[in-house]
Amino acid sequence: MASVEDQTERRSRGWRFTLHLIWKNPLMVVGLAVVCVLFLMAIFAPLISPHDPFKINPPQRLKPPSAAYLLGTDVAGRDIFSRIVYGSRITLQIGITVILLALLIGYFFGIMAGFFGGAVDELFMRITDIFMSFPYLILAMGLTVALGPSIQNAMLAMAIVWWPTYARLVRGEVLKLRGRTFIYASKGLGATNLFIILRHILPNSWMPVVVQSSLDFGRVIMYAASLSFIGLGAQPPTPEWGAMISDGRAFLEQAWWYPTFPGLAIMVTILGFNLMGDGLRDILDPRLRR
Amino acid sequence: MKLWAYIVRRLVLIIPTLVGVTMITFAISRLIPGDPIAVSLGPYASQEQIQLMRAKWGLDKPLYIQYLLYLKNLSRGDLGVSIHSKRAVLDDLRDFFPATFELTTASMLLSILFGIPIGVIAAVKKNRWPDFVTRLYALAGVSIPVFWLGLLLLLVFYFKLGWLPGVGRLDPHVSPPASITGLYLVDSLFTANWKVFFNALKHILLPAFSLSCVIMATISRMTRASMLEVMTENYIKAARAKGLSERTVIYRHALTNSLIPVVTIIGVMYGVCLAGAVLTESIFSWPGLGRYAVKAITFLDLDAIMGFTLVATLIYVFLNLIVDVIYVVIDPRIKY
Repeated sequence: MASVEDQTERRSRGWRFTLHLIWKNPLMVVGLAVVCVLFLMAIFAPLISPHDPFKINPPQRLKPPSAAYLLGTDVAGRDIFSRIVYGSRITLQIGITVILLALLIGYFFGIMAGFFGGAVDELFMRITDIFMSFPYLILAMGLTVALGPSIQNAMLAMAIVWWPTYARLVRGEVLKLRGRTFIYASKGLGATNLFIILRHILPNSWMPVVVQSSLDFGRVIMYAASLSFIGLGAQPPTPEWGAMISDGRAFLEQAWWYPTFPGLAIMVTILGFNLMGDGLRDILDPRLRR
Repeated sequence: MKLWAYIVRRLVLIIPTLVGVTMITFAISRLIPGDPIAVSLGPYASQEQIQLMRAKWGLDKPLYIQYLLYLKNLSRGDLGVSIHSKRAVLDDLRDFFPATFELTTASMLLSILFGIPIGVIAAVKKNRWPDFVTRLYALAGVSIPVFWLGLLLLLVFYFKLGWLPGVGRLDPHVSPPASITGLYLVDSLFTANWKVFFNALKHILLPAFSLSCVIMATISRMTRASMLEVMTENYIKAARAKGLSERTVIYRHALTNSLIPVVTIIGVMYGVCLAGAVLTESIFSWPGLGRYAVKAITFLDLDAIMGFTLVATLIYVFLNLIVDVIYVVIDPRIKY
């Protein structure tokens, strides 16, 4: 049996190896940097933003970028830079909430279907089939309209259309694990189903799910911005990036900076998450290592 | 013969999906807080109108009967009445469909026509500059919000440079071609109406390009990955050993074999395209289903929105069926 020192030694080498892999992948470093900046922006928003993102100041409306207003001002004279900084909070909040909610539902259905099999499996998988045959954004649109346009409902609607992907993934992992000897052994020792799920299935099935959800983060942000753009997500005066583009649309000709910079923020954020997700997949899935 | 049997079986298998889809749209339309009838008729409905609608949708009956009634109305093509246009939703959708079909088809063609060759070039020149450019584009392309790209294109090519028109399908003074298919490009081509053809072409360029950006990126990425995998196969080595030209090896042997996953992704991408049309059409004032849906949203026109959701989903489901059939046709190894 390995001593405690051996184990910590191996673990630290593992960490060092992971760091080495990250460092070898410059695109992932860029992605991680973008994501870190985004989190810092969200945490320190009041310190970073030079102006109050909500303060209406009509004399300063639609001013081009300048030293006082880094990225210009919007139709109400609010500082666009400050609003983008505060918007990072909303963006992260949406991404995290939607993914966690979808994971929760997806894990429940996936484990039920994979672990119990038979009729339960058949039923749950048919349900996911139906959900997956919908174009996501259009279903989310319909749902948000029915629930009433708001950021909370948009998040709920997105989680409702998103969970089937995870259910599929988790089910596949559970099926792979179910036939393994240690599960049988655990059963033989009298473990309850709940114990096996919590102690064996969950810790052994999270990796592909983490990869998938990190890859999905960018898409969730994109869909949330799209919903806000057509007026179904964040409502004014929330400084949500998609909603800001929607507001700035009418002033495209006279104030190009108004819709341009929030869009740039969305693009950089999504790119960051995609790069990070791609890198994470390469590291966690050793088959892809070259 | 066997192919027909396969198509029939797939058509039968689509029934549970359709039941599921209608159940979901039914559930959504019942989710609406408050009285759905009062909401769908708008604020100026009289008491009798409300009673009439209530009986028609059977709102006093149990839920499963309501669902059956809903199906019965759907099968008659009754999707309700739009409170905004005051017309039957089905008529509205039918009128707006050709514009969307033209736009989405144009962008899908654009994406396939450029996406596949870009992917092939990247795979052939692996780790050289064309590959890096393609990979960079594939990463950036899927990160650009389609509505923002549309606005930027509008800003540059319409407002600043003035090269291309920014709104609608035709200039206001150009009358649409005689309607055969409802697709302006096709109709004007049939009637050899060149003035209208080029005008329509100029109008479709910006919206089609902004829609295809994401799709093209995804297709080229997929083609590259699939090509790289196929290029390591033994039959490629065999083809080279036979002394075939590199061109033949790449296009006849490698590309045809790497198209399978690409075709699958094209089916999925059509869904992305439809959703993207909702955003793009409203930016370019393109008179299609997407703009209709966005207008319906601003008026909280529920029947219109549910009608659009249902129709868009049906289009998506059937297109994926077609993709599955193409799949079988291009890959004889697949058993059906």
